[in-house]
Amino acid sequence: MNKKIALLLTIIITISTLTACWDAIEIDERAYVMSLGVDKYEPPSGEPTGEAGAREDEEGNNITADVPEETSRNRFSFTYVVPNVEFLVGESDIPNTLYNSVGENLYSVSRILTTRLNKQVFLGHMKVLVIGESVARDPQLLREILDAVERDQFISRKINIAIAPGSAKSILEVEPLINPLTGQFMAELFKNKDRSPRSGGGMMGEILEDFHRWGNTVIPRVIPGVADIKVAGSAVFKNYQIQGWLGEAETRAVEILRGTARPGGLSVRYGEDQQPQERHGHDYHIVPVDLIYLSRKFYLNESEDNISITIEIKTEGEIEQFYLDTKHDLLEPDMIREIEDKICTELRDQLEETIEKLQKEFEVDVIGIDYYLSRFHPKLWEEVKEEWGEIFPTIDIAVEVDTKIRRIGLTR
Amino acid sequence: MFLNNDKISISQMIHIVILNMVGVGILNLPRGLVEEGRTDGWMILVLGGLIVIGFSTLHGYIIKSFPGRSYFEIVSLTLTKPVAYFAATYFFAYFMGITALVTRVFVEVLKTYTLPHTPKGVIILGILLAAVYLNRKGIEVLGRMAELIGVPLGVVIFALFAASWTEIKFDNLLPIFQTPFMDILRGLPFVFFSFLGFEVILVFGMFLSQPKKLAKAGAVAVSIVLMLYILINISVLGSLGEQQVQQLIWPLLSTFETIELPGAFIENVGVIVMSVWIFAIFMTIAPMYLAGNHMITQLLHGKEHSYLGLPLLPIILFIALWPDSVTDTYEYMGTFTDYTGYGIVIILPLIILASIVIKERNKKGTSGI
Repeated sequence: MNKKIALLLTIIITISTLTACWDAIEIDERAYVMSLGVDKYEPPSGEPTGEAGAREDEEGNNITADVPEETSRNRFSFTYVVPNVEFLVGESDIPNTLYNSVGENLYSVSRILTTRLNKQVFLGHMKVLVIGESVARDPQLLREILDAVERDQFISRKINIAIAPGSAKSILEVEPLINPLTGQFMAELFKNKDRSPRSGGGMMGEILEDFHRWGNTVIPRVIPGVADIKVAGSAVFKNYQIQGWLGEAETRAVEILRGTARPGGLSVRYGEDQQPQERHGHDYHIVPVDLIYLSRKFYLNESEDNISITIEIKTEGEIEQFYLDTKHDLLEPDMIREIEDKICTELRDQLEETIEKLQKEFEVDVIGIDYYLSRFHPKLWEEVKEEWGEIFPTIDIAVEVDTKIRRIGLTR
Repeated sequence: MFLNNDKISISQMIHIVILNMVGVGILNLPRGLVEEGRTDGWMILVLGGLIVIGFSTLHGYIIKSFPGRSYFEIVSLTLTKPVAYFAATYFFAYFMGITALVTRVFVEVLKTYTLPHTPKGVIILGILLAAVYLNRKGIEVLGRMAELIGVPLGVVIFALFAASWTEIKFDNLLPIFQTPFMDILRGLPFVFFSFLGFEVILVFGMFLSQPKKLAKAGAVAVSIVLMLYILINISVLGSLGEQQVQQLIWPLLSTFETIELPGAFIENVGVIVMSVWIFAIFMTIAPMYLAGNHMITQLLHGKEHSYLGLPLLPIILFIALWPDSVTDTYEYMGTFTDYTGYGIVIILPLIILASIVIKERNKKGTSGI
């Protein structure tokens, strides 16, 4: 009898203590936000706000809720993309549900959203954070958002972040043809192993690291299309504020200079500067080269008065295309040397152009010379770190490129 | 071997000491090191580790000199009985307080990452009841548990480090040798406190089957923990960088969040780290609890410690619930270890050592005459 009572007690105690019912939550009670768009709230110009802005149908019934007013509390406009579970199992044609809400901060807006959403907003599975240009221009708003994301224990440091020229909402409204789940599609764009270096890495953890260091970084740019989204180019940040945009080729140059570029392609024109009689009837041949390896190193030239940095880039490549004729022979070492030289010149020109832009136009060091100096020349860095923002535009930067063409494909 | 004769082997002792040291300290160790010595934190760590090895050897030597004697008896033999009562009370308070505060940090981490709505008291009761249950049969069971957990835990930890290796940018560890020597000395107390836990040697030493080898055991345990700490520091500082580490409350957990296991089916490695860490923290709470339990038994001249195990639980629960917030918890922990740590680990053992040396010299003196 005693044994039975003991057994019963054990079962009751185990059941009541081990179920953790306080934190139990069913999977279908949560709204999993795949991507989040952050914009600065701008009231529609010329239209009434507040309850007067609510649209009515012909019979006088409200068909939309009231348009948010412009008050000091309405600072942000958040766009939540929640994938439709029924679409995933093939029972519905609507892939995403978009919720747009305005308010003072991310937390309270997510909470207030539950007044019109029958689920708990859960950001733990967020893949991409899209920040609108208006927020990127306002350092205070940007820092608030980044802190909220870093502080949240459920948001991973592996999520991707991108800046949208215009509004973030316009990006998230696009339903890409190949995968209409916008958030997942963008996350896969970032994760693609074959991705060209025409946009930065854009991983939240790395961006936060950069911001914590000196407040400067580059963040990928995301551009909306009709039925696709493009991640290309980047936004340059100085002191948590956007300074301007870098185009796709410039972004690649910055990525090479930062040492974070995935190898990509480069095309040169062979024979452009040859004498007309040697051209065999054509002006030049386009030679695309697949760069399979990239490395970059900084060197400080100590002897000079002004800080002078040499950036040494080493690449290896494969020739992808030449010209269908019998006159050229790629097995000839001289020819390979010539193409190698062309790649070096081409790459160096691009890099120098971008450095010039960073130094003169944006005046911000996002290529990591500050990092290099602070690690390898800490004494010099102690002297210059306070005024680095002013010193960087004046330093001398030289680029040296070394290219080796390793393979040429199957034909000569 | 299967008898419960309250004896543990040297290997079990090493396991207990290692697992006892690895607890809440590792979570914020990299941040503390960066705050104290920036990228030169590892120098503080190594220097502090060597000093701690010295003290653990001292503790071992004291126990070795009185094989089979309890700490209360050792103090009364060397420093008279009133001092022994004081020392035992001091130790008891220390073990109770540290058990409670470690439990509280455990609760804060757990509430942040996994159980936001579960009441604090329930989590505390959960882990403390498990600790009481383990301690009921005394040191022998604890030793076996430590051996059982120790090796698998080590394997998992090294696998996690291997996974984090690809994320490390070794440039983040530079520059080195830039911090003035005085700053490094100033950082030593922090490192000293992150090694706290090896003082259980003093209490558990009486249960050793071969107390002669104890001095070495302490040194081995501390060196293993020192190596683990160095690895953690390289891994965390290398993958997050100096400035980022300073911003994170628990940089260790954040580091493992960024790891991507190639081809793994788990999205978040943080979950594995969390569960591994819960084992480690349990093996900190249980020995500390048992040590406190033994101290009060010796203080009251009891014969069996297990009767006093459960009555201590409300005290620990009360202290653990005392701090208002995570900020307070770390504040109290700092203050508490400041007042107790030095006395327990450094001052009392040094006085005991002095007494041993003087008594031996006197003995020699009298025999010589």
